[in-house]
Amino acid sequence: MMRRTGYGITVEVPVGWSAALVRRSTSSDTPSDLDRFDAVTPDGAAPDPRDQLAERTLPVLHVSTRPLPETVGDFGSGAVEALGPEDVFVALIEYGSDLADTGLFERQGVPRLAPSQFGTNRMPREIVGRSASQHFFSVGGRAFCLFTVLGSHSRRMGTVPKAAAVAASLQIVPAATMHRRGVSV
Amino acid sequence: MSTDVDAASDALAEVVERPTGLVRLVDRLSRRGSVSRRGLLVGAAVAGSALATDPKAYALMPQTAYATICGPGNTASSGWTIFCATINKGVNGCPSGSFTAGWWKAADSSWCGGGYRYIVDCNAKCTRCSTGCSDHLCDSRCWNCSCTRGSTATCDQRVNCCNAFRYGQCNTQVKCSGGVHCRVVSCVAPYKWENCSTTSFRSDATAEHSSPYLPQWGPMEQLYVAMGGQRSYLHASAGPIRTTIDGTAKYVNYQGGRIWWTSATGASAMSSFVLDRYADFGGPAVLGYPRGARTTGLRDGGWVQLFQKGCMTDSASTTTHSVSGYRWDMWLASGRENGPLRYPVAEMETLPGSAWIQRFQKGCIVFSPATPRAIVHNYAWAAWTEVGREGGVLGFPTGDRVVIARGTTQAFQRGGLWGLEAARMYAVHGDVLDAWLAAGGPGGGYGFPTAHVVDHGNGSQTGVFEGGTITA
Repeated sequence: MMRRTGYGITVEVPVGWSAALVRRSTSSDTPSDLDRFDAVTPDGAAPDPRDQLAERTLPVLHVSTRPLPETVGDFGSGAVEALGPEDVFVALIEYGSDLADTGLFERQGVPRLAPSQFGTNRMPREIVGRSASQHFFSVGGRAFCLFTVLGSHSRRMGTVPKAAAVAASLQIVPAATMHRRGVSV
Repeated sequence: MSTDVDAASDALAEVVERPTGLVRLVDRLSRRGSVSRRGLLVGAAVAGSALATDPKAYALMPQTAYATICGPGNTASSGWTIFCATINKGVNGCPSGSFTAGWWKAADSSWCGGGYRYIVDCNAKCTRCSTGCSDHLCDSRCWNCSCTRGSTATCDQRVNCCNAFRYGQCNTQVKCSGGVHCRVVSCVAPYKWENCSTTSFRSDATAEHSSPYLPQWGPMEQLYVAMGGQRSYLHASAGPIRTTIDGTAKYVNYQGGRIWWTSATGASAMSSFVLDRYADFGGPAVLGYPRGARTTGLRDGGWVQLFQKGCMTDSASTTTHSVSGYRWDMWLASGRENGPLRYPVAEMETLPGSAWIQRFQKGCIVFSPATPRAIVHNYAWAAWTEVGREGGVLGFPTGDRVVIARGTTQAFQRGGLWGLEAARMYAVHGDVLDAWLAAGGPGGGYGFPTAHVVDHGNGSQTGVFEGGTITA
């Protein structure tokens, strides 16, 4: 086992697996050419305060039985296509403390993965043979999605426990502690 | 920089007819470094939509430009979800029964001028039942849409309402939903126009996915983005770029209006209300195409939208009207709504004998084949109206009002109006006019009229003036 820690998230990565815990730089995303367009208010309306909103990026953890490519979409695009029948891809995606504990993120605690939760159509796009599950939850005032992809739906009884072990190893520092450390989540 | 982009665009345009040379060109331009990939894509978007969307595919594969519009992964087997525009009557918005549930962005999209493109999932609502919500997605039998493969009637043959997935940054008060019904796109971040979090996810693989019902990047989309995209009064696009029958203009319809573009005017937006009135007033044939946005904040809460041959305008005290052609030239020269006429209160009205008149709050612009176009306003307008306007004793004006010593005058076919400065004007005509003018007119001993000349009906008339009365 190898422990991976960052952004108040800790995971035990099994030997032979690969992991990446990143927080994409917003500077790599902006400025867009379009962001430089001056907003116009043709009807003379007051500027919309939403124009002042700025995108934020939050930590994303990827753990996989296969080597992770250099560029992986937050929900695994670029990585899940290459999974073999015995492979597993686990993503922990953070959404922001402002969304925690209510609505979609009302459920508390890291979910326990079970084979019955997986379906072949549970991905952003269906890839023949793959299987996935998705859970939204909160821990310590932080909102997350746990997204897990299996290389083969038919072999989920054998592969889900591997993913479940990784999920069960997750430890998350509460938002209040992170804020005291000066880290926004 | 713009020179390089223009050069790239020109070069791409040059090889559109010779696709075999395109791959070399794209690679060469991309490697050259003087043109960024983003700039290249912008140029390509101008050169040709198909070319821009998937240039290598367009060049290498025996397919039509139409097929490349939809980009890669456009079949059901790709597993990607169809665009809402394809299944929602062209509207790039969530269909009834679905809601905005999450978003991601893709970089370097030609559909957004080489910038970021935001893809927004519309997820189905659980309207038929609520079972299976333990993982926030109800059972597929509860969704208010059914999983289907895209129609082969378009190139966007992706799946419809099949993927049980939620990105999760939007409308998080909805704890349980159905799967992804379809996808909306925007070049404006969704948290600026929808109830979405600013938390950004990214997947560049979808940058060039599209639908033949979505408008391509160009001056119109650029204006739409500058207006705030879906947040603007235009709301969602309702179809692709279309060309007018005569080919002189292009336009994109939106839920709340339309954006026009011509090479002469550039891109201009108009609301549905203005669009409807524009059609009522004769549309492009009468007004030409819009040249700029509606300007608000004018006198009396008014607004004006300028067109090639006139304008449409309104105020708190009037209803919407157009002013076009000669009338527009004259109204503009007179100071428009700030001039003596103020706002129009009617469209042009035709009069007997091929004459016409357009009335304004404080006057009119009028013409007859026997007289020049003229403005009648304020006291002259009041006086002319009192004596029966063009059908009365004076007939049509033969010129505009002129300032004279101590007052003003305006000439008409059968007489004139005179008045002291900033005071009422009165009609003088017939034999009284002849006698008054012979006596020196307003500069003579009688001075200015103080009442309209009265016709007694027995062949005699009386005019009352400052210095006396003339009966003739």
